[in-house]
Amino acid sequence: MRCLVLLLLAAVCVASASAQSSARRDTFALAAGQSSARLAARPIPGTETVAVFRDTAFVTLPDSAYSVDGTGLLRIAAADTLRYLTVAYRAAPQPAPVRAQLPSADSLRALYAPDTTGRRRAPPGPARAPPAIQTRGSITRGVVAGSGRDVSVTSALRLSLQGEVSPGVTLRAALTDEDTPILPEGTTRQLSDLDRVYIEVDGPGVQARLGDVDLAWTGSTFAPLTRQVQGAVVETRLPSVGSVSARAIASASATRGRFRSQDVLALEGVQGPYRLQGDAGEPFVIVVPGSERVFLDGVAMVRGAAGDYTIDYGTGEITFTATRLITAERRITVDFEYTAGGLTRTLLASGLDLALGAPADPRARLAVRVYREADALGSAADLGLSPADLDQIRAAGDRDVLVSGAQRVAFDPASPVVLYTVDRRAEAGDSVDVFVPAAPGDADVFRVRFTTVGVGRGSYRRAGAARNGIFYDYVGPGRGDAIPFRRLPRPASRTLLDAAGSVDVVPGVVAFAEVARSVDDANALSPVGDGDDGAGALEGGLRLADLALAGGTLAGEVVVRDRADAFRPLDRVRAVEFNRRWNLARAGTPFGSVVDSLGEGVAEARLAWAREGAAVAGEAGRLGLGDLRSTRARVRGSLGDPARSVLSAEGEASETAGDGPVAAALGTGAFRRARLAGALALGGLRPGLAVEHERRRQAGGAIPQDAELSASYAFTAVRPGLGVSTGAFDGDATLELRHESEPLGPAGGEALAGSATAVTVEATGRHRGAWIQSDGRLAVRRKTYADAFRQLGRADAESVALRLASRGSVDGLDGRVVYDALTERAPLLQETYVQVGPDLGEFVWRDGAGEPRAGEPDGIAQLDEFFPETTPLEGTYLRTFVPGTDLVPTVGVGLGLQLGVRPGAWLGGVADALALRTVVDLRERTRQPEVLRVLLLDPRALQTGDEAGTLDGRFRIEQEAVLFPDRPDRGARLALDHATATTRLAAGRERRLTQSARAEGSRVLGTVEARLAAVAGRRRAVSDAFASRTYDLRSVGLEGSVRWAPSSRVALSLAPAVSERTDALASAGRPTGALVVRLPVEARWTRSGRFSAAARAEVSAIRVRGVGGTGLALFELTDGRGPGTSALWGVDAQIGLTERLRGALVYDGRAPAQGRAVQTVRVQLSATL
Amino acid sequence: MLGDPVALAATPDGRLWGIDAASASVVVLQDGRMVDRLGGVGTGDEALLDPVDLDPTNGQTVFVADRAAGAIVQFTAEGRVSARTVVPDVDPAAPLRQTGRAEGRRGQPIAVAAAPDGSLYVLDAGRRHVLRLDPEGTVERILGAGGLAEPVDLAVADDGGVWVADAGAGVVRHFDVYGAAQRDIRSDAAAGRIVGLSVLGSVVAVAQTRRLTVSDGDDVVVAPRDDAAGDLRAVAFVSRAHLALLTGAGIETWGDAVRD
Repeated sequence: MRCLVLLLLAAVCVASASAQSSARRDTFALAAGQSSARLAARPIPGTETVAVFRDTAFVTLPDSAYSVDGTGLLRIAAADTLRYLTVAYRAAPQPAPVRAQLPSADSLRALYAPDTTGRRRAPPGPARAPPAIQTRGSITRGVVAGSGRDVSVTSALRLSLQGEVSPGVTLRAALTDEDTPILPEGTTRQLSDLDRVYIEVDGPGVQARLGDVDLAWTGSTFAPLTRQVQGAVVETRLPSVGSVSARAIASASATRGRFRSQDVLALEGVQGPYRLQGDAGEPFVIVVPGSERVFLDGVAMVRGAAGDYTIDYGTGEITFTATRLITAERRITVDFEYTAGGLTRTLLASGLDLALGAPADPRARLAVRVYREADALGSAADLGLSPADLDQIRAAGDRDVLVSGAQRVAFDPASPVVLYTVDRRAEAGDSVDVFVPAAPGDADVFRVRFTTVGVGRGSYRRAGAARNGIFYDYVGPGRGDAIPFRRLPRPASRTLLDAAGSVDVVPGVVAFAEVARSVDDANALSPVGDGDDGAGALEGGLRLADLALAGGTLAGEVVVRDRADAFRPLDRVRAVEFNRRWNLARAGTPFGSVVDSLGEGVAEARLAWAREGAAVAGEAGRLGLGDLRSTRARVRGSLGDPARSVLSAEGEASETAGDGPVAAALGTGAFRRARLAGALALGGLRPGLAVEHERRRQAGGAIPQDAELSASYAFTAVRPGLGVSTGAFDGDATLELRHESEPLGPAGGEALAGSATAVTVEATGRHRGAWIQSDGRLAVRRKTYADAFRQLGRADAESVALRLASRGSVDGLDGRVVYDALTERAPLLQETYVQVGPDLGEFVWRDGAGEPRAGEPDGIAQLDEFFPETTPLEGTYLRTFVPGTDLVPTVGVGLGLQLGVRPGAWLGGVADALALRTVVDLRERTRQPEVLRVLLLDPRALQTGDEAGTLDGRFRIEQEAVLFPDRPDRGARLALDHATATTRLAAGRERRLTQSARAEGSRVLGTVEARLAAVAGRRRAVSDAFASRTYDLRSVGLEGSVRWAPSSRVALSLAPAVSERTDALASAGRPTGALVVRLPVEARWTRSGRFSAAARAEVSAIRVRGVGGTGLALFELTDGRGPGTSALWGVDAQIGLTERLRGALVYDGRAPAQGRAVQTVRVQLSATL
Repeated sequence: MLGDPVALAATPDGRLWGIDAASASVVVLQDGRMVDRLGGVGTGDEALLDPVDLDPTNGQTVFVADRAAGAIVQFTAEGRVSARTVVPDVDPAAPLRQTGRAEGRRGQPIAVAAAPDGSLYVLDAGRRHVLRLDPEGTVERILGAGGLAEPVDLAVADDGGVWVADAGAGVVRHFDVYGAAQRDIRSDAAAGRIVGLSVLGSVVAVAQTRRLTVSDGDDVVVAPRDDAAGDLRAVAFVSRAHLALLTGAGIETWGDAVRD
């Protein structure tokens, strides 16, 4: 078949190539019974070859099976058995249109045959030759203006380029700069990272990448580099000189963030979120998307809901999925890049690789790397650094400089940040100046920057409730975590030179060496303290590569490494589990850079032998870390096939000793770890058993590592398990019984006592049936402490991680259900409105339209003064929910269900005309202590209003019954909805209930489509903080719509609606109800290829019962129109200016009964590239 | 890699983007290897419930239609969810272009395509109409009103024209950027249901379960398929010379080696 495809390809090529002379090839799909077709050109008699498609290929017909006359008329015998046929022939010289005849509506020229091997096929063959550079995309620029606002500019660009710019040089580029649709309520959005540029140019021996580029230079011990940068990377192969080949790489860029490695303290029963911080302890850092590398117990994790963890880059929060059960003894390490303001950082990187010998297997290699990462002083002005600030930085050397964070400004009610004034207070007999939020009349107004200094070390704390924005509240010295000072950014630089080489000493033995030197200047403006900036590191050793021995292969390595204290790489150079491996810490390094910044001397040796079904390995080494010495050894071996029956054993021991300050800080002792595991394959069953033991005895240790984990401990875990694999189902389950011991005394060195027992069940299963497919993952653990340890403050804990998903499809039934649950933490959210302009804005600030307060309108934005926009482009504010500082332990549970039913599949007859659909959406985060009730979705445990109840919960169920679902010209629908939501925000709790019932019928009669709906609904909201957000609107009404399209160019629409509403929670001074009548109309005119235009208008007559009323309650009662007779109108039009240039106009206006008219307009030009 | 593939798209850099309904995730393939996976089944912010279609634009912004969630989920190139846009269930005959209110009923988006001007076209299976969500957050019904019998897929061309595959009527309908109807492409019922389409410039590829049709104006290419090759589920242009075809068994490319 491969030959056939190749022949076919060749035939197509030949046919294509010769077509320019006079050869032609026409292919037809003949309709049933059709026996003739006309060729596209007059043939030269006798040159034709006719082939018919049979089974998998075209087969040539004998001459007797067809005839072709001089006009090109082809006649086929036995036409009923034919469908696709192709005719190759030479055309007579007179010109003729090159077009396949169309014997049926969709018939056609087949260029290639179907191929059941699915291997290599001919391309579909473009109708015309593609251009050298293929450009796709568009650019849009617009201007938005409106009543009482500044003109703003909008833009969107999405472009891709691909092709050959010159012989052998290809270009590939993608550029994006866009605004994307957003809708209120339930919509989340990150405002950053929408702009992207990527350009790649490939030429003979040269590759250049520009724009947003990932740097990943690995392979060296001291100079690995992984960064996401914006800049250029060029890689080129240099001409070979003799047997020496060379490759050079260079990069100049601005880094998108600063690299940091953080060890995260895992908490029992908390899947997340775990917050990443900046080097100075800054909370809520913005993590550069995609830059993180997450390790759990030293193993790299995979991002995504289908993987091991999810991450919120905007807040730097990591949450582990049900795939990984997080307990207190797990070890979490995260390498990431983050941005927290400050100076722009640039990165210059270059390298040269030389190889001696055959390119595929060189005898010697040399790699040189030079990096310089430095803060750009030119960006100092952008940060508002004054000459005085720069002088202070120069004088400070490598120390931090704190200056006042207050900057005097004029009061601006639309300021994106909260402005402050100074309030002089008496405190402990002294007069203290305190920053408090400013009001329009204040004489002294400041923009104040605060710095987080740690809990109990500041005098301000983040606050915010009714007032819009996040501000810091004075709580007194030592009671807060922030101070009104800012840390001046010091321009730092780091330079690294690294050279690594290796040479084949004898076949199979490689000698290698690497030397590096770094210069780390923490303050490039100041010469103070520069004397100790430089330091070096070196490594050398021998490597044995895969030597055949006893039917297997032997590999090994001896390496000696030395690193000075002040040596500073640009990326991680130690193994993730370095501290645990050398017994420097039980898990991770909560003491941060104390250990990481110490130099080390390491001597290690490794040897491993492996053959099919057996492997054994051993390693040993010594470490010197300051005055601390550590030795370690590890052996491991396995017998059998890891995927079937296997027995493996592993043992590791490390000891530390020393009598200096480092030893005193870290403590000294011994760490023993052992693991024995086996599994046996018995047909579809695979029982297994694993036993694991660890024991660590430490003395001393001044640095506390973890409040929940003592430095000395022991545990023994037994894990029986069973794997099952059948035709449709496979899965495995393990049960872990774990006994832990710790010293009761505080200093360590005491005898270990039984501290806790933990029982863990983990199971994973997958079922692939013909109708139903299911996946499930269950992990549950209960840890129980002994009484003696409970008295020390330890608390029993339950951990749950669950995920079940099932979907099925049978005749008449289609559904999917997802259930997941995690024990986690959650922050209290603060509702905030951010001014983002009309393009992204969805809310309007109406000063004084919220709660009836004295002095309103007061020029101060309050949360209750923000309303959804009524017409497009009217809103300039975007609502966000900012997480609070504290995290509260919660149980999170979610359920999603979609079910579609067609009863006609079983019942037939009339039931064919009915379709049912059910949607359920539930999400709950609660502090409810009865976890099981939450997991079982007990309604009494969900969306509870008490203090220890729901933090954030929602429930929505939709039920729909559709009549005549397959008839586009008629239909009827009954829809029932019920939704509840409970949210505890910083300003107070809010509860919502939405119910609706809608019965509608529709009919299409020629050019008229009509629809009539009876609607009943209820919208109830109760806010603890705002009376104006508390209402209970019940409504009944009719909605109709008629659309008449007298021609394909014109359409007229009319949609009258009448609704009677009452507010059951209306208090005195508020309307008790309203009669709402709305009449919207639209006229649309379209002309193919030229323009489209639509004009709309709506008149609303809303008669409210009662007087007064403000806020969201009145807004919802009147659909945002307000009482009385009001009008909305608008025009939108698109006009083709040229083939590739298009203009658009969008104009909207509204005139409420009270108040002035609001108008907005957007003019936009779009060019298709 | 693909337990139950249901949708396919390609970006100009040659990457293939598929939706695996079994794991409710978007699988990104390059040179036959999976290089990334977005989403995953669940109820969390990054999870998907029932993804059915996607548009990866130029590879830097990816839109995914989640039918059960009634939303369009927007991913960045790094795989972060940057927006979750609710598709409202709007009255198909009412004068539209209204600000969306996501607290009401949600639609059933089964196809999504990003237009050159930044707006999104969404096919709502429940109402059998096409909505346009513009950058200001307004919703406009542009196609429907009884004109579509059973729409299953849509695509937006570089010139802004909209193509809608209507399996119920066995036709692919074409509308220019102004919404004016252009010439339809009719399918042959004998070749099975229309399951998807892809547009590159003026060239349209229509996938039926047992046939692929590539059209460029009057120039039409037909590729019948053998039953043993498996029913087609989707088609995507990788370049002008290469098409990727999705079947239950994986992904085939025409003009290149098999990838999966």
